[in-house]
Amino acid sequence: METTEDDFDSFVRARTHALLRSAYLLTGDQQLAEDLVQSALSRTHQAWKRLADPANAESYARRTMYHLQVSWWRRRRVAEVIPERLPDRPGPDDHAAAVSLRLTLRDALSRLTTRQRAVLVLRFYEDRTEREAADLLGVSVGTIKSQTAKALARMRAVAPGLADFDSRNGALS
Amino acid sequence: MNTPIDPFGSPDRGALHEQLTVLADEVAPADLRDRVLASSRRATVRRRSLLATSAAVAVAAVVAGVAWAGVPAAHREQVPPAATVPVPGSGAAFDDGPYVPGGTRYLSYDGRVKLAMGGAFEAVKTEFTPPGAVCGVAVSPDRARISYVTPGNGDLIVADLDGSHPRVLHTGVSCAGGDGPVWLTAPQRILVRQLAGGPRMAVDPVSGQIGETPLKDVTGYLARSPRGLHTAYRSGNEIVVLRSEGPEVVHRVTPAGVDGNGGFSVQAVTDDGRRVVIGPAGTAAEPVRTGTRLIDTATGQEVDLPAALGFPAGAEVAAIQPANRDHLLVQMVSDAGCDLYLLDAGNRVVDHRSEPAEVRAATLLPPA
Repeated sequence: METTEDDFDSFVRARTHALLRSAYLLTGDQQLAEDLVQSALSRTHQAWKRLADPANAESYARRTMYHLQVSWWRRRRVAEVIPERLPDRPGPDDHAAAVSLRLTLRDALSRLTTRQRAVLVLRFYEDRTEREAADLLGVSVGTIKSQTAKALARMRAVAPGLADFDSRNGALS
Repeated sequence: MNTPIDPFGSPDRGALHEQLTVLADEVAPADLRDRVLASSRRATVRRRSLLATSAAVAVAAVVAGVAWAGVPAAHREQVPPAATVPVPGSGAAFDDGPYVPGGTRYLSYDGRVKLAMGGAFEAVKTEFTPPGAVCGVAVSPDRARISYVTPGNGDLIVADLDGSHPRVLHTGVSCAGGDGPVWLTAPQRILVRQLAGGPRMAVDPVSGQIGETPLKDVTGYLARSPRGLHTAYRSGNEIVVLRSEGPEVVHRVTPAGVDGNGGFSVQAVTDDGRRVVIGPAGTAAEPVRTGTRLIDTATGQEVDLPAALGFPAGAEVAAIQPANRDHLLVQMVSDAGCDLYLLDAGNRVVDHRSEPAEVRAATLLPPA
């Protein structure tokens, strides 16, 4: 029993930050990211003894995290204020450009639905294949394709500055 | 028109990955171990408590001669087979419970109840199709049953949510205007008025037993909050808010901008009793099912909805319904489609999603 608890402790300490990084991209907020990971890990702890192999724990926790995030309004979120105007496109200064790009990207992500955002994070941050993303979210591959396209189109629409910049760096264009 | 581009697999993908990685670097490390274990322990206690409650319900049902089929689905404990690896998702218990449990339901013009589960790209399920022309279609607060009234005799039918196992609970029930059946909570009953007039009565949805209610003399539209903590109705030009089903009145206020001509109807109230949704007065032949104006019951002033709801431009409020924990669900429609916004108790937008176009012309039903 103690070994099981020790295993879980080790797992939490080793993988929390990796989960937090994805959670932060999903929520855009430190506190919400912590809450989301906490909930996912709590459920993982509940299931720990029933998991066939502790090596599956991260997969289970990550899947739980995405399900919690995209489930219909099951989590409290901070108000998302849609700004009147997004930050200007980056200037010539590299540091300022990087900061501006990050702000623009964050704002653009906040305009996506939770599912679109989840699909984007899975596909472009976690490098999941369409099939993997579909399995993880419990939707079809077609849905992943369409949501990816919609997410990218929406990002281009709400943040043309991002698209302009990315055309130079090749991110979205 | 832009052609959707999927840059996955193309050289462009790397730059977006890099930018997301930079953004992810912003998150600060956190030691969540103690929080996780405390949260897990609380969940275990809650689950044991639920199991104990379920056992008590089972015993009570047996003692009362009520079959399990008569116990609301929400009270049935779903225990996964021990040998299987649990799959996270909609069946999991949540720390604070969902604001909008089990998806959003809509009532279409032909009386069908449709269920939307997860956004614009999810299929809409037709949950209930009425057997011909009926009126007063309403879903029980625990989302386990549906009720409706047949024309002619005014039979009040209660059935499972999909319309199966219908049975006549009462006859001679009115469905005119705001006098149609209203589900009450804690315990669940259906408030009805007879076609022949007289006071309203509360009908037990299982036994059909009729009981008295403090609401017996309330005429017209009447709204209960999701958990039944407050009830609201119109009296003259005033909104009256009762604690539970009364008789204690906690608010009595005249809504601003009501001129007495045409009037209004009270369509919904939040659990804290602080906000009431009002709609048109309606007619006997054309009952109103929801409202579009939000009234602060302390001041009578109309609450300005967040400007963010106007996005995209041209969107209009089609319905406002109370959700759990003093939140509100606002349905916005525009040429572009249908959107739902979740507002907290301070009327701030806390979430948003697009709904399938199929429900654009349907009426949002109370989510709880």
